[in-house]
Amino acid sequence: MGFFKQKKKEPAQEKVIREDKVPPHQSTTSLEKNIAYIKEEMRNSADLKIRLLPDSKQALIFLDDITDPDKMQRYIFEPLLKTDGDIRKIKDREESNDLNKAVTALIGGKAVYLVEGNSTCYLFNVQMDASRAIMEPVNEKVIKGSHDGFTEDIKTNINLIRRRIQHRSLTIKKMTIGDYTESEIAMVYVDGVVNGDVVKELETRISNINTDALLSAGAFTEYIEDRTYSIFPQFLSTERPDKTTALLMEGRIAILFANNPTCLVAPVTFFAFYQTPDDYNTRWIVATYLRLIRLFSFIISITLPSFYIAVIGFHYEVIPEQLISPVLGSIRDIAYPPLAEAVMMVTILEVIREAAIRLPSPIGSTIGIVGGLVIGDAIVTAGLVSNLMVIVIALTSLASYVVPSNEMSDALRILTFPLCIMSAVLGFIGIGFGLLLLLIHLCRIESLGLSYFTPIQFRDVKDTIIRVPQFLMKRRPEQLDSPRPYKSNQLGENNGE
Amino acid sequence: MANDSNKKITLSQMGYIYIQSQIGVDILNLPTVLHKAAGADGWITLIIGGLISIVFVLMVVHTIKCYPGEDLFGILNSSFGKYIGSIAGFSYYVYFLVVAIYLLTSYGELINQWLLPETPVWLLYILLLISALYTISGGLTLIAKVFTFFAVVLFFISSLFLFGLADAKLIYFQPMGQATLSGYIDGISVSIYSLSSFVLLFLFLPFTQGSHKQKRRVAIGANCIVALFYLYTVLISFSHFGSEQLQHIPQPILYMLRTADSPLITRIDIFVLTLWTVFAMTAFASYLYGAEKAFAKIPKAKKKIINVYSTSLLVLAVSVWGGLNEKNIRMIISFQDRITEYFTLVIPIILFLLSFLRRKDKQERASS
Repeated sequence: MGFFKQKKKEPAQEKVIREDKVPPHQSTTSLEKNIAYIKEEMRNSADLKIRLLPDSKQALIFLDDITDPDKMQRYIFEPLLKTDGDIRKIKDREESNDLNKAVTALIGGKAVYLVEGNSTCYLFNVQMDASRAIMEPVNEKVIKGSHDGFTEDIKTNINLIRRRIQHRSLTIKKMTIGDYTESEIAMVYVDGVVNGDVVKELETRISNINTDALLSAGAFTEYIEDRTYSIFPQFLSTERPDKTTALLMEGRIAILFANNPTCLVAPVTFFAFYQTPDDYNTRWIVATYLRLIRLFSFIISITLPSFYIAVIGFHYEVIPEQLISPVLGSIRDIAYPPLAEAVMMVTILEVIREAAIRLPSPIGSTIGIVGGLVIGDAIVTAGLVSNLMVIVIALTSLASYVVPSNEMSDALRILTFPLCIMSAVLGFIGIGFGLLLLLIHLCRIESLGLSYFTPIQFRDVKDTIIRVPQFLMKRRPEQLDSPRPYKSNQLGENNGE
Repeated sequence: MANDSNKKITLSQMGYIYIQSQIGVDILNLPTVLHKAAGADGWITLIIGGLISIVFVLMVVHTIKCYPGEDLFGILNSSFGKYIGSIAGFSYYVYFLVVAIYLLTSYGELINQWLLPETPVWLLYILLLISALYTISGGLTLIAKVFTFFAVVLFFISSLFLFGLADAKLIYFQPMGQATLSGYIDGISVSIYSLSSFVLLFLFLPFTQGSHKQKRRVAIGANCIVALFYLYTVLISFSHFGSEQLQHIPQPILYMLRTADSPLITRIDIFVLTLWTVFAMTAFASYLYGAEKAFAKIPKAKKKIINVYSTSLLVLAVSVWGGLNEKNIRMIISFQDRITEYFTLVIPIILFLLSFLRRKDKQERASS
């Protein structure tokens, strides 16, 4: 198609230099010149405070909004009084002759101390701590088990994990992404349990990210996931340290973000989205039962509307005799074809959901009543939607909320549409083809190069579809190809499998 | 097409691929066809045919062992020389194409008869083709994963067949041994052809991990599972219907499930037919994969895009042409019947015999 191609001019754009790569700028012995340079570099920002100390021979420069006055008092002024104003005698300081480094330090919450006639900049860490208390994440509540959650502070989060895995092989690698934002991320994994190739793969992918600003964990996954065009999430996001720890000990990698309580875990399988920490805290029979319920609701949530459409539109014969007359009675006076009914109901439900999320919680419940009860009842009496369809759609959306993971539940609700259309065209065969394509797609997805869907070995079923007692789960998941496939050191004959 | 040469599948995946590519739409007709050939003794001929097919599997596995690291076309080339080998490779392309077309059209016919008489059949062809292409475009590893996963369907369907046992009568197997010799031979050949996917082992076995002994064991095991599934199907339909009814029923299993009573839903046959889409897709996908592999070996077929789509378009075009047209489809089927013998029986036997010569060759070369 070279004929239609027009040469586009590359738009001109100045290159941004990351803070840690700014070339050094030698400081001078003149206090005034140094201050002027810093002011210039900081674009005369309003929060840049320059405090000239007596006789204007010394100056303390800091950013007002990110420094802690208490700390400044404790670490700078009090020791300064003790040493008769000689800054060189104070401990706990960094020194630099590079003004650009001083500027970088300023942004990082440090105070810069300059002295007339001395080209050295003295840097003190007086950053203000701004972190909220550790709380249980709102969207991932459990009944039993620990109730702490990650916060926006990456140090707290690493602390929470380190407290749970007391071993020196817990490895933490920090990187920064974004030329402007310099967002800090930390890769956490247990060395010796994790597959080394996967770590390398993830590192290369992260190092290939090239952007001005990394704003969220969701954006991060889009840079590095295997299949961006798939509807299924390939990174598990969680705010629970206990869940993260369990996944780490299976041999997966966690990625923590500064200023974001979300922790991403990869590589994961489809079934990881159906596991909750509760499963491991209750009796295994109960846990298995709940797992099966979740699996069942997965099937319900994607096929029930399309099943209904296929039965009404194509295969009346499937309905048992005694049920035929009630079913017919309920759909006889409905003007629209079942597909239109389904699409209408699903859309209404999504609108109610979206409205309820955005509104403050006291009004949110009102929306639930107006939307759910009033509309649901009126739409049937008005003859727009049959009451069977209302049941079907309500069950479907309930089933989609059973999934412990929010992203997966969103994916499932969208998947309803193509299946409904397929079944409106071809009946059961349409559903068959829809599910076939869906399952092939799931088999095709990889998470960090490892397979996402298939339980490759029969033994993997033990912790996916059902949950067996701990003493039967001797191995880590087969998917990960861990260098330490067994969970304990004892590998006697009775312990092997 | 992903590069398969360095990616290998596991033994169990190979087994599942073999099972899934073997079971197509034909099994639904098998009881009737067997009954036509050998009467009430049809199931005995199936057992004999199954045993013979094991011999063929052994032969194929042995041939592959003698040419390490080579697939069907490599073996053809090294056995027959470059020119005859290329011609043989091309004729295998034709064979795979014909089988793929047959599978596609028979699926279309089945659904058209049973479920969707009004729907244009090309829509079904296109959907099946898309599913199969989507599977094989991921290379052998994706085929392995998908086929392994869908093995669940086999167990599920087998258990649904148990509904037929409700009205089963053992008396229908009597009297035994009434068929003539020619009837037996007919029945046996039908059974062998219905198990003829051992040719596909040439495509999958060389890319399987594991020792030769393990491969042989898994191949035979998979073949036995398929044969037992056939036997199970045939026995249930024989015992459910008996000779007189079987003559008039083309798909006995489906008729049997149609009348089966279950408290939750009626018409189990519709669900089974929907599930059968999986078997139709997997069998079709394996032959399409074979055809595309063969096409890639033809010199000058360098462009991959052309490679993938030309074969599929050819299959689709011929299927639409044949489709539900009685005369055209007869032509395809009779052509297939004529060539199947050569590609599933004659050429594997020749390759097997030639492999002995080659082995001697090698030993001499090694000693000298």
